[in-house]
Amino acid sequence: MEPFEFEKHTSSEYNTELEDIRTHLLKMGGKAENQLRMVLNAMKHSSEQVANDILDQGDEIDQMEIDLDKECTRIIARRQPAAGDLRLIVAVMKSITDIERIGDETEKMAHLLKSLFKNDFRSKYFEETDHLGQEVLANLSGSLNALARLDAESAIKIAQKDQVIDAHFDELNGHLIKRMVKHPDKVKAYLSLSQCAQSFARIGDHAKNICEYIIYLVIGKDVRHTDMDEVKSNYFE
Amino acid sequence: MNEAVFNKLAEPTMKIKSTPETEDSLNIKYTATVGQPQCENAKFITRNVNVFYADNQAIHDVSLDIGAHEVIALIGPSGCGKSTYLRCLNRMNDTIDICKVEGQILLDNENIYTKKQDPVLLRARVGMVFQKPNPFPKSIYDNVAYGPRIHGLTKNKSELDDLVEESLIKAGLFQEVKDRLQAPGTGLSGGQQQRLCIARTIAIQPEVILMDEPASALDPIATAKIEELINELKENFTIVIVTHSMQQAARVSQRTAYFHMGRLIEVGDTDQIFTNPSHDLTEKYITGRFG
Repeated sequence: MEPFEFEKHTSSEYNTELEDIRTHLLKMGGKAENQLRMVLNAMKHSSEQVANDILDQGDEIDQMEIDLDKECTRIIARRQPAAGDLRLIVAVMKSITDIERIGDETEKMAHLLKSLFKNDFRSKYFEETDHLGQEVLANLSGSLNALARLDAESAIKIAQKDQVIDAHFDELNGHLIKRMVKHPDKVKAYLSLSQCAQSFARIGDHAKNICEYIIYLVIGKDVRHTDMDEVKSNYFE
Repeated sequence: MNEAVFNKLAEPTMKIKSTPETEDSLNIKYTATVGQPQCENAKFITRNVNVFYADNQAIHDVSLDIGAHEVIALIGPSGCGKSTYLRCLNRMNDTIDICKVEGQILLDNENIYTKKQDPVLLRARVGMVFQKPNPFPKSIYDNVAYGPRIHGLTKNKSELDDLVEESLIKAGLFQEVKDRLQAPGTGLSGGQQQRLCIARTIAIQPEVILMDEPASALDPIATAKIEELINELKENFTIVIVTHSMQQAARVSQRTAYFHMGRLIEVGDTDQIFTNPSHDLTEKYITGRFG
């Protein structure tokens, strides 16, 4: 696959504008990734302070989304992008929605963790949930790296891993439901943990979506709602 | 740009690799272009078209079908041969002494470059609208009536009146000029003059209309009216439009052909060309990396 070029337009200003939105997108992705790391950190150390820090930073991602939306709209209005440039703008506008939702999920988890810490809830399933979170973090980091390098082949490999995350979530959630049945007095706590796990799984889905936009951006094929093994055999083998 | 540089640039660097030669249903071998140069229900079939201005070759081996009732846009940088190719379709190049056209150009499967083909009759079937509006120094009515009169398309004044009215209606101009049909055509605004030229073209009931940058001298409102008109005209005519405005090509055409240095590089559905072109040169041109 040839490397994707954003530069070399006749208008150097246009090169700068496209490069800027790409840089800002990666910055926004990095911010969301950091929030997810903070969630895992808060979980590991039962730190209410870290959970509060996550909530304090929530607005930053929202503002980045608004700014990037504005920049993309401006480029559409002024440059009428086509082909690869158009796909870049579409991919950026879609990716920022997913990244913003990743931010929302981390805030949701921060609230849930705070309530769990307040009630001094302890369970071996914290570790299991953390394990799920680590898998999701690896996938999100991978998808953002693939976005930085515009690497569609890595994107498809990461998108394929989302199945493992979903299976892991189903298994963990099954255990948590059993716990709720067995310990009706702790339903609220186990339900909070289950919601955390669900948020991790949702972040995994968003990371997968980002991978799909990378594939669209690089090869021009819309692979949403398509089996990833099929996508791999159709376009990458 | 020399030939070696062109050949290097012309190598598809993305997904589709062009095959050097292929054969179509007419068993004519031609140099393949990336995309879909052939189409079903073709009005024009052109194969291995080469055009020379004296020793200078302006078009190299262009093979392209133009479907009936489609709007096809020819795009490419200045000097790429798109207008030269367009002018081959109604033998307008015959008027240039040093111009030589080779290859096959079939209109409804009949070669238009035979001695028995009368170029005047051909141009009645394949009309043309130029970049700059060029109404005759006559009244609005006479501009439209000129073609039908010399081709004897109507039997009497009443039929001619009807044809003039119908042509002006189809060109979207009648409402604006119905009360001043005897006023000079040159007194209209630029956009109105261009629509008058379109009315003059369609009055002789052509099958194909060639448009060479028909809106490049017009303001955005007049351009929008011409584009709206092209959309309506495709019901009855086949339209080939050369345009430098990529947005215009994207708006009005169903298929787009990209020319580069006299070669047809890529042809495809307009949606595909503007969102995901297959050839690196097409991508570079439409995204403004050269041209």
